[in-house]
Amino acid sequence: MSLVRLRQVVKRYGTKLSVDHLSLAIERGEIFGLLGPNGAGKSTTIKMICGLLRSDQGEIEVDGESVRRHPLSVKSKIGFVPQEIALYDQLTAVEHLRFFGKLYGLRGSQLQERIDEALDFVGLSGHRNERPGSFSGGMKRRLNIACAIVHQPQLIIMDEPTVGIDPQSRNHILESVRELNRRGATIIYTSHYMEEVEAISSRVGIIDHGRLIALGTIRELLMQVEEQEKLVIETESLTDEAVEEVKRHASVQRVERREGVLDVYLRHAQSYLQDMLYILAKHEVRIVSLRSETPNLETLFLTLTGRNLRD
Amino acid sequence: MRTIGTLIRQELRRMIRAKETFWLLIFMPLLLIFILGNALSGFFELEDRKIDPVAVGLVMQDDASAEMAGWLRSEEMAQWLSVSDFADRQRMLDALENGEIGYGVVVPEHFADKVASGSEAVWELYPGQNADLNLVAESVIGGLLERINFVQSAAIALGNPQAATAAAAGASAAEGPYVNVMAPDMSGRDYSALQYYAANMLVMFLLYAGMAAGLSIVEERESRTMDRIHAAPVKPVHVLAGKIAGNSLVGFGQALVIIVFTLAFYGLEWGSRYVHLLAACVFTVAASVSLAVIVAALAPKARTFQMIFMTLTIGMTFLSGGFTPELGEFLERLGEYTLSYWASQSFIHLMLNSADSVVREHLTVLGLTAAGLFLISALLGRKAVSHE
Repeated sequence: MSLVRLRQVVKRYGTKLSVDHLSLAIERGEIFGLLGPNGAGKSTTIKMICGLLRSDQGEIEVDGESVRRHPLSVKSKIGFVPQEIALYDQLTAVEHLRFFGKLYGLRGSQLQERIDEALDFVGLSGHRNERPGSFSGGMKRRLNIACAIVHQPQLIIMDEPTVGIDPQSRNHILESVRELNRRGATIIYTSHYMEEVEAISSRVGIIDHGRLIALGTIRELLMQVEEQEKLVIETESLTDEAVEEVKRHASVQRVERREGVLDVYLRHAQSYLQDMLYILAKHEVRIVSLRSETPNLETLFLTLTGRNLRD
Repeated sequence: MRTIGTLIRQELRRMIRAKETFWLLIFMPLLLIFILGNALSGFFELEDRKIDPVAVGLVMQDDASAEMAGWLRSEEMAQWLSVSDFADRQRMLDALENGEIGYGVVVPEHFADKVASGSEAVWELYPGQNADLNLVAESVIGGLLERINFVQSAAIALGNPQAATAAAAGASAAEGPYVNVMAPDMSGRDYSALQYYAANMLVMFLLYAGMAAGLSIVEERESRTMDRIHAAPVKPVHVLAGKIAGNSLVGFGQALVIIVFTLAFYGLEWGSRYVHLLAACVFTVAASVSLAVIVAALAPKARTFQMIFMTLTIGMTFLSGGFTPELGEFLERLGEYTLSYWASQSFIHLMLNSADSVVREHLTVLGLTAAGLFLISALLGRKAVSHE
């Protein structure tokens, strides 16, 4: 049975449709990446899963329980890492975890153990009695995560947890996500950074204008755009004959010529690289530079919507 | 309950850790009471506060009550009340409106019979345009009505009008003068500037304690920590209860500090009715926190909330005479529609050991105001702590 299931979920803000009949199933133990541009409906979707927003239509279940009918039971199974750094200036790191741990029903020695584990996990054990005001952006982000995992939830929902931090802290957080997943937690990870989602997700859903426009493993999704693998060849003395012969090659899907630059779209570019070089050499075309561009989720999004993810 | 306890402790911890809280809620009122009480004590010089007997218009519709009403004309009363007879209610009301008299009393038909038989009996009291004169008249007439209530209680208990009258007479002899209330300048127990400002500053800063509750809600919404709390298995009503209870405790602590400190260091007396004093504090804090929740539900941002609540607090304090007692007739009348007026007057009457009926009247209005605000805040509370 899926851990999270959305059926025909709709959410409107006034007349604006934020989530449009979204259906989705997230399996236990996976890292599910929810990808989409700003305003696509990612945050609204996960807030509905967390019980922070009520859907206008449709049904959301977590671990077989309806979020609408059993909100407290569902919430106790979820750890939510908000996009904003939602911390109290007046509380130390350990006091944050104590407060949120108690809200999840933890008490006594169990609470203390979980606090120690969470602080250790995010690497803040040495700063347990310090307040967020003295923390770097990355440390605040890590404490933000620790508050959500202190009760060791089976589902962790992270809403763009790496916004505005340095690459080192980002890598630390991404590695933490993988480790949480190895320890058994199911993760829903939203981002508009496709590199992050590609790096950690076992499955990805791409959302735009509140609708799910693509769903599958990274491999499955990239197969949809594999013909868009591209060789970019910068040349001198490019001739029409050479271009025509490149076009006639069996593996080539499409060729675009921009002055001396030739964009060759083909499947398995690496395999046919020699053929391309041979054709150009035969027509005495001098090659200045050559690079291969493989399609990614950005390419897929561009193909599906005609827009870039970060537009 | 455990969750609410956790939220209350969290609220208290945040308040205690914020340095400005201590300065605003504890130190400032004590400082202001000291400064205003000393700097403006000229307003409260005894000779300035001498109040001439209040001109009371009396309409007697019950001949059998002549003896009771006659008490109003007694020698003891003459220093406080100057009673004139009117033939009917309308003429008396006209005189009240023209300012010819300062207060009006109508003794309705069969009043004495009703008192003797133990059934419901009321005097109709008509306050005039001057708050001070009303205060004097209410205090004095309140004492008289208490005596009448005693007669009625005896009538009910003894079932015999003669026995009741005899009991009342006995009680009168035993207790001495029946006017045992204190009004400004009575028996040398005029309220001082320190008392006046202590009551008004206590009310103003209890309103600020309410503001802290509202501000806490709005700031948590802004900083998204409210989202975190709602993402936990916590009911919205628990969040609201935690905020209200935590800040109410701070308010009670603040009231306790102000009362004890002014008693110990300024020698201020807050009266001898501690239960009523507690009730005044409870009602004021409840009204203040409820008002804050209502404003928090309507204000989207902390800055907007602060602006609205500060304006309300300072405006109400000003209109109720909290900054200066001399406001003029119109503003004084307007002030009677404010929470601060009923709260500060309750405290002042407690300080003056005014008649029970007067204190009860003020506490009743204050309590009803608090209850009304609490009901509205209960309706809007979910919206206030909402994360949507």
